[in-house]
Amino acid sequence: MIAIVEYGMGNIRSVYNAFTLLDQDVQITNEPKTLESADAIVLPGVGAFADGMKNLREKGLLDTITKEVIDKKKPYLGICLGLEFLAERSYEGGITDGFGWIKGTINRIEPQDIRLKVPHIGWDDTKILKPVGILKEMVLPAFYYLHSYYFKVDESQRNVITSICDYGSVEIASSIQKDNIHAVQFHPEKSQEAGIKLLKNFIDEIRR
Amino acid sequence: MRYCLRCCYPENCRPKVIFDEYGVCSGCRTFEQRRSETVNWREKQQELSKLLESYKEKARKNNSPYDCIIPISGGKDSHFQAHLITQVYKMKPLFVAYNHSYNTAVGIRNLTNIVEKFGCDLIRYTTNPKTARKISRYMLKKVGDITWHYHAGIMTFPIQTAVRYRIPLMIWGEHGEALLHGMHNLEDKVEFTKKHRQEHLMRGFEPEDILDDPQNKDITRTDLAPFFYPTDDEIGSLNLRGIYLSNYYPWDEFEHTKMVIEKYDFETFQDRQTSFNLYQKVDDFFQDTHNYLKYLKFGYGRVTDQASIEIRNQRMTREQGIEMIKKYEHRLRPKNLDVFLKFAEMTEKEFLDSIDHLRDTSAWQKKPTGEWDLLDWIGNHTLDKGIEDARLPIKEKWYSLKSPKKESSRNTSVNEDEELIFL
Amino acid sequence: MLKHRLIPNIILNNGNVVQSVQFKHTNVIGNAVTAVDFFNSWAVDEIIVLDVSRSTDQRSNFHRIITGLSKRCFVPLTVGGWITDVNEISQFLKEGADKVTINTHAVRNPEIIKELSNVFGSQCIVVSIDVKKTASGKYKVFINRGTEETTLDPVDWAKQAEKLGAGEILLTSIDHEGMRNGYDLDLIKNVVENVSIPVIAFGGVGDWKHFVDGINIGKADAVSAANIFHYTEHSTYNAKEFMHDAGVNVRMPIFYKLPTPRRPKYDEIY
Repeated sequence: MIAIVEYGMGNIRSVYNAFTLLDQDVQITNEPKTLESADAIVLPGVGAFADGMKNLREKGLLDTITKEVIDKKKPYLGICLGLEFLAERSYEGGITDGFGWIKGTINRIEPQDIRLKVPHIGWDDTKILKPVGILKEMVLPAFYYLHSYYFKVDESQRNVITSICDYGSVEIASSIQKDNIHAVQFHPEKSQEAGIKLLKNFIDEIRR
Repeated sequence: MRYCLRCCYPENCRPKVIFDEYGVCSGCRTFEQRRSETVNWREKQQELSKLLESYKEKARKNNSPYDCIIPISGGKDSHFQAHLITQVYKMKPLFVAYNHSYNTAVGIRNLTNIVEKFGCDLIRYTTNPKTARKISRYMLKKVGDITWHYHAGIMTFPIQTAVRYRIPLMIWGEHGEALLHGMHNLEDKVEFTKKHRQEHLMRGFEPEDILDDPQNKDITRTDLAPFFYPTDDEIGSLNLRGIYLSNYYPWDEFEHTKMVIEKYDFETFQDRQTSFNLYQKVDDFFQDTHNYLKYLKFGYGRVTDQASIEIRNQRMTREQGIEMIKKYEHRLRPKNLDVFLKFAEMTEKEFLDSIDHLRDTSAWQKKPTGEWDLLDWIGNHTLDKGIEDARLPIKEKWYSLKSPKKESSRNTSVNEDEELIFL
Repeated sequence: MLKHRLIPNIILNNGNVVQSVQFKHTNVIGNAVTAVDFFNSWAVDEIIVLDVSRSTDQRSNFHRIITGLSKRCFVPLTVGGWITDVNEISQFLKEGADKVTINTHAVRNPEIIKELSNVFGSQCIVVSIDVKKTASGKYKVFINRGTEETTLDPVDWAKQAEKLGAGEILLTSIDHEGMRNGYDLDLIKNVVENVSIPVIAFGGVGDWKHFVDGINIGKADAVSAANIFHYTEHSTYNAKEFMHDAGVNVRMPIFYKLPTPRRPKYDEIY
């Protein structure tokens, strides 16, 4: 059973629909117990970083997720905010701490090119650096992005970045993998064929 | 129930219409635009000519035996289309027909006639009666339509043929929903789409949906063979286009019928229990039952459509239209239903129970006895405010248009070795 | 490279897809499920669904339709029409919308843009601006589905919306809508040059070339249309292909195969 965490941040129905389409047993939940019995945890989210972290803490989900993913090594897929949370802290609207699972910070996208708008909205080419894990069998896919902040991963851990998207002077970390932790900045549930393939790959990761 | 103040359409008609601030429906308004003096039909026909020339050229270059496909039923529109395409535009069409198995003798005579008179080749796909029965029974329960396979067939098989024979142009006659309900204006230059066919003619069902349905017990992939639409890539790589002649011609079917009777011996019914119109849908044996189903579901039937056409063409008044509805449609159970029930192997109770869940409750009310009663009908709306303002003057008095009766050579006893049969 | 987007706009009046000409709803095309299904397979980048119905008792039906549509829509879905309420936006997002668009309410209470972008993130908030040329020849923002004139200049209002936190602008020329003569390119260019958030152009398309003009001359980030996509086979795919062949940076057009089974979801909604 795949658990999709519900914590009041944005459209999770589409992620649910996508997994249902792939014949998966999926549950939307905000109960720590359900996360404990799940085979994998998916954390989607669109919105403000600080609100997201606050909601996760308040509902008692942060501790459970950390335990299940870091200690028990359950497969984790973070989407958009779900990737940003992995950082140590975010500079969106002040300074907020993240999970701290990967060294680095969340910064506002500043492309230094007046033709490039913020938020980064739309389909963008994603360069695959490591065609493994959720990115296996993909060639230069375009995914749908919808964000104003990106993950500036610390130099020491840049090997966790598996794909990137160039946006002016900013190199956006499009996807990250560290062992059982997978995360994407874009929205696979809204990226038609390429997205569905990525989710299929994640399902394979769970099975392994 | 609200009714158009000019024609006879109710507000619950399918597909839907929009009533404007004068209480006149979008079907009437779109029709009005078509009949406006500002429409330059000559220019449109020149455009059509150019378009058809380009396809003739394409066929010449490719050494294709046919430069277009005309899907036909053998009816009045088929005759008119064949006339335009072969006589006026001098093309070499391939006729493609779908045999739904519920043929009338007149229909077969007309189909033979069209092939004979225009000298065009015909590819005709026949769905066998056993399969037709299965599909009619299933669709009766699902959407209350026993003739689903007619539309599915005529709107898919010719496209399958176009892809198989690599003929990139289909020529359709009228866009029914545009002309009757005002779905599209002339300037939309609408073309045939799988989308429109699926939603409005196939009632949202593709054959894949029937196969996926756990309630389907007996319909197989073989039964549904002529209804599988070619893939997007097949259509795209052929650049297949389906155009409607009603975008280029004013389209008055009364005038068309007069012409094809006179010039090409088109045959109409001599009389009809269920309508004043003797020339529409003469190839369909179960048309009466089909129209009855529409009435049972929505409280109005084909006579309403036909009367509205006559009103918009200024041959009938709204009052005459309502008289026709009263005479042929309102509270009338057709004899044809008995033949259908026998063919479909069901009782009338089963028939009515099948469509119980499909009755439009804005038109019908179920009584405690289990019987349904009409909540309203247009006969109650003869004095609505605004009718006079919406009224159109009569241009030509309506009369019952029909052809001379033809003797079927197969009915009179004749020596079989002396009778040459084309179809 | 970030691609330009082609976005069909499905305009719903009382649950039915309608054609709209200068904001008059003239013809009924059919239902939204069929439209979304076909657009999804015909190479679209996003879909907008607008509820223009005046009667409030239709609203729950609209929510039901969005819930059903999101099950079949695998590109981002933007939902709008008479939105005034934070809770309703929450509901739409729960039902599967990715972005929402606000129009009249934003003009009447500009602070709502700030509130909404704080709660949902600016990337979810599209401010929709309807514009008409008045008798004096000046562009003015109109609200209430084109029935009320305001004193706002579209460029000023767009700049203000951006400042308050809007993520995108949906810019509509009421004069051009349904007229098939192309976008109001001056209007679009003016707004685009004065904001640094993406702008979606709408209103006036009669030919695929108009999309190319919208991007090359109007400098829009995304192009949208409503009526024209209901007329021909593979409409949005052909538009995409035309844009691609004209050198515009768009996703390669391919036909997307829809997931099956289809039917149970169709019955749930209509």
